[in-house]
Amino acid sequence: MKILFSWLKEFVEIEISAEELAEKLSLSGTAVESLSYLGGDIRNVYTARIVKISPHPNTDQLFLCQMDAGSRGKMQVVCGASNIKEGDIVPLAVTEAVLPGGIKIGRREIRGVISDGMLVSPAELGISEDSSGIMILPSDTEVGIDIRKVVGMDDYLFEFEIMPNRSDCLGVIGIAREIAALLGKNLKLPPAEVQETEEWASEIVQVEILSPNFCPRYSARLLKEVKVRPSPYWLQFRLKAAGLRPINNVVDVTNYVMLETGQPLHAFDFSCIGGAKIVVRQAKDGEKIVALDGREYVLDNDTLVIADEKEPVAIAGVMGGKNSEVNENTTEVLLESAHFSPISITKTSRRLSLSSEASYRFERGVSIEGTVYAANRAAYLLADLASAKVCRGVVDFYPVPYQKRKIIFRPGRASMVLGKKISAEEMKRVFFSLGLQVEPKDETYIEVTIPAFRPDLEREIDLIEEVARFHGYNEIPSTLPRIRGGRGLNSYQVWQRQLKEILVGAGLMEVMNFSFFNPSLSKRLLGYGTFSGVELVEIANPILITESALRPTLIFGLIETVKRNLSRNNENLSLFEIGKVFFRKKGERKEEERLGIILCGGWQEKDWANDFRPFDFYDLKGVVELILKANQLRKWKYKNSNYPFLHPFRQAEVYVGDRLLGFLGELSPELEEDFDFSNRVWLSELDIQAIFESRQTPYFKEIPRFPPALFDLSFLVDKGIPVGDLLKTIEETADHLKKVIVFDVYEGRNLPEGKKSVAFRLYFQSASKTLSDEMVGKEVEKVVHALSSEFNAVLRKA
Amino acid sequence: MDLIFQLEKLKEEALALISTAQSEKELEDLRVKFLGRKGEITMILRQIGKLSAEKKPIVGAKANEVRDWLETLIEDRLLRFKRSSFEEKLKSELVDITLPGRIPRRGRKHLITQTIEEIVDIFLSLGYWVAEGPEVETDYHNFTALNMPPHHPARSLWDTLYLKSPGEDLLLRTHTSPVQIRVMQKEKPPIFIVVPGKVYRRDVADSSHLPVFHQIEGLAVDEGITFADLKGTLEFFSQRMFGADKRVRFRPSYFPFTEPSAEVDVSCFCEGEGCRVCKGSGWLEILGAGMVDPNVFDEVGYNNEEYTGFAFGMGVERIAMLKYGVSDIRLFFDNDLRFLEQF
Ligand SMILES: [Zn+2]
Repeated sequence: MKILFSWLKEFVEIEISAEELAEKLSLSGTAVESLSYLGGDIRNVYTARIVKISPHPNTDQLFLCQMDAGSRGKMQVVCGASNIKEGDIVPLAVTEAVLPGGIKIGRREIRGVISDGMLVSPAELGISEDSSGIMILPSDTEVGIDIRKVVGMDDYLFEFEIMPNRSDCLGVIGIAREIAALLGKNLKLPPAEVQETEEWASEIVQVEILSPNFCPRYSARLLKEVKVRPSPYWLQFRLKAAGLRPINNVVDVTNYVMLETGQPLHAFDFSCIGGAKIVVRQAKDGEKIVALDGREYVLDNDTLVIADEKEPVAIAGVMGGKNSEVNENTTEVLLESAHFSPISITKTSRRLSLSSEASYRFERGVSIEGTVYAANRAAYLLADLASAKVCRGVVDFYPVPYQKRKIIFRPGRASMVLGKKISAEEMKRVFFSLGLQVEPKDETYIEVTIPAFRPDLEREIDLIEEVARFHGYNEIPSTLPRIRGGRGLNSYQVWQRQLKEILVGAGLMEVMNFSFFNPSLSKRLLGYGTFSGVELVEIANPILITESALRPTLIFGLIETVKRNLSRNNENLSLFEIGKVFFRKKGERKEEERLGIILCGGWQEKDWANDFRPFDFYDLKGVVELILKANQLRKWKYKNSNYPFLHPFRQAEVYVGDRLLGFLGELSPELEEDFDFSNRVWLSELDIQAIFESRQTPYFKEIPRFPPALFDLSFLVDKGIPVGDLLKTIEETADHLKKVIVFDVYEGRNLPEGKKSVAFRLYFQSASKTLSDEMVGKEVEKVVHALSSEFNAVLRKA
Repeated sequence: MDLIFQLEKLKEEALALISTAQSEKELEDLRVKFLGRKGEITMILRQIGKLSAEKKPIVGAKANEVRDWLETLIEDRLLRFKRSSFEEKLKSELVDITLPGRIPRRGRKHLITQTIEEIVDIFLSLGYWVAEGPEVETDYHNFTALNMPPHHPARSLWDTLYLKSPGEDLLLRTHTSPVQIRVMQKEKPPIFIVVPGKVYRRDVADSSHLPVFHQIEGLAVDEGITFADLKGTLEFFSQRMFGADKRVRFRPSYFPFTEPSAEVDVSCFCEGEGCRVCKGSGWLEILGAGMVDPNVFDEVGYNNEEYTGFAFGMGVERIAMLKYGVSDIRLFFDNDLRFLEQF
């Protein structure tokens, strides 16, 4: 809501500066979004009288004007406009003048004659669109004074952010009331006493309300002999400053009064109201109206309309109809000042996707008591500005008069809630200055009566807020509550922090992606492994079609992140993300946390000290196992899998016991091509809730006091035999085996076709004695025998 | 020749030879020459037996003295040689201290994670605990229970993403406040929680808006909780987060689920000079807060005469932008390595 400082000053005496006022308002709850000085763009433009007009010696197109600018002196300007005559008072931009848009005016020669300045149009001053001629000021305007003072540019524009509960502040009067309470001044309401004719409006207009639930009050005034024409500058100026477009004096006055009072008004061309009858009713399904925006709307039974005897002439509270629009030929005007239920207007506005200054106010609630005052105020202004004759009386349908709300208010409770003792006297003063009635009951409470313009004040706590606002939030002390029941982080929260530390310590970078998902990717994903039976959760009103579902996996966000980084030459990426995934499974909606890991490039670039080594499957597997080991998990295993987005021969699922933790592998080369990767991409996604639940607490084992015995064994086996199977057999066969390391795997030259060589280092150790060579030899023999019989492994060297 | 005289001569000769010796080897040879089993001193000592009883002790003492002196001299010289050859060896092991070190690779927690942990830890230190809730919420928890029944005008403060969910009114939570409802429906006071998490808006991303971002909600409910407690708590937080010299300002505002409500500003890093970040005001808006509206207590079945409480909510990205000077909110979800590595 934008309001001029001068307008506020009409209703309340303000002795402080605009900046100070803005600060005070912001600190008492009327947020000032911006404050600007309007005349900042104009300099050195003064009022001056045209003393004499004579022809330009060198051209017929231009004139010479002798100007009297009072104390600013006399001068001569060259001018081409035809709307001026001798004696007119006009704005004169003199040397060093600046106009809006940064236009500089100076003394210059025009077709051989010196011009000391320039006469200006309203458009050039930025006060209206009118550029047809020079701005002619009223004949009693003093000459030689700053034009900004004359045309209202010596003013500040406040932009307020009005909270949805403060519909009363959607009018200048409402904000002036806040200011009055803040400064301890009285609110002055603008005049609305109307000179009426003998003719009774109620004898000419008939008003019938068929939906009193949606329209509990309808007030109207009838105006005759209306002269429709442009509004005076000052009015146009205020409307424009408020962001409204001036149209004609009738429409402008309805808008002007709405800005003043917050009560939306509508003006009908009364001659277009068939049967001279206003009917407020629900629309028939399929009924149509062309609104003032020129568009046709198809209505339904939930829409409230203002109709004449046969068809709608307005969408109630939202927008008038084209069929009854006030135009330059209009002479009879019906002014509507009605009250519509907020819910009805909200629904209509949403269903038609149509909102207006009026609907915005009705949705937030307008005072039902304010309709007649607003109608009178508009009639008062139109009598002046449009020479209207105002018919006698307000037609006022108002079957159930407003019952003023009464609230029991306990000053003691207010002090308790706020944490500061504030006197009951001060509280009463605040209520009184806000226009509330206060009635003391006894020591402990008072009764406060709430006027209709403050629908937000419903309960004692609402009044406590008013006390706090005007006492000043910053005058209330600061204390800390005594906190009981503290329990810190829970075990999962602690664990998740540690998990991130482990990954970060291992060189992985945490990233965060949007939770959205492009459903067109789902054919690559759904139906396999962890995604079998998974359905997407879709967004009903997505921002983008590519973001129209919730992600069932983190991996595509990670792939996009890698892609984006590579395109910016950020190489060697090792990233992880922990976040929610969303899906439906067996009809049940799930929201679960996942850990996604992606590797692309290598751990580090080549430098003087290190070689570059590209990531491979075992780097990814190593990260996964780091996590499993850090959680003291032991018996994890891998199974072959067939995720279509992974390389068919470079992927696996990892399990702890029977519990599936997730998958790991290389992004399928087809997708690598689709995503335009020249590097291999390795990715994994794990169910971290499952890891958390499977985690083990370490338990102390005696540190062995006897030395270990090392034994290296190298075997020749078929290429296809997984090393893991050999390891498993070794571990199951040998006693006193502390650990086994695979210290070499070799395929290729010097080996028989189809064979590979695998070398193990076995560590034997006993908790109770030093193992003899004999004992170790026996265990080694067992291992050699087992591998040979199970896998046909041939011992190469011992 | 007098043995004493011989000893003196020997001493002179030895001194000349030892002090000009050029290597350990030469010194070892000299040791043999003078002190060895057939060495010159040994020879002299052997002759002592032939001397008279008076002369014996005198010459013997002299000979021993010369021998000790020689031994010390040779040892000393040898040590000096050893030390210098060790120094040679060390010298050969010189490193170039200007070559870059092999820094173990380290990742980073995302700046948002770091900021959440920083904020949460401040409240943990006050005795709060951490509650969490679902990102897919019901319309009831996100709006209705927070004093915003259907068609409430305040619902328009949040542009909401709704889900296709026949039979359920599901949406992506627009704030972390529904967790207030979930916690209060499950537990009785005292409640002192902070709630970090992702929230969603139907906003197109620009330099200050994102459709997905993070909030931290706080809720304190107990007997006798006051607005002054809210002020003290948020001042404590702001000063711990932004610096002990920071001033905090409270402005009345409106949220449907708090009454009275406040916006909280912290003094800008420009110290009131006015800068681009604070748009010249000297104040930075950091969070919204207020006393829990009695209607919310009614909704969760708390007695609103017995209990009072306060709630607050802040945008984590905004806090991080202010604290670390990040200029564009989109950077948080852009995940450019050059951004992530800075924190
Ligand atoms: Zn600043």
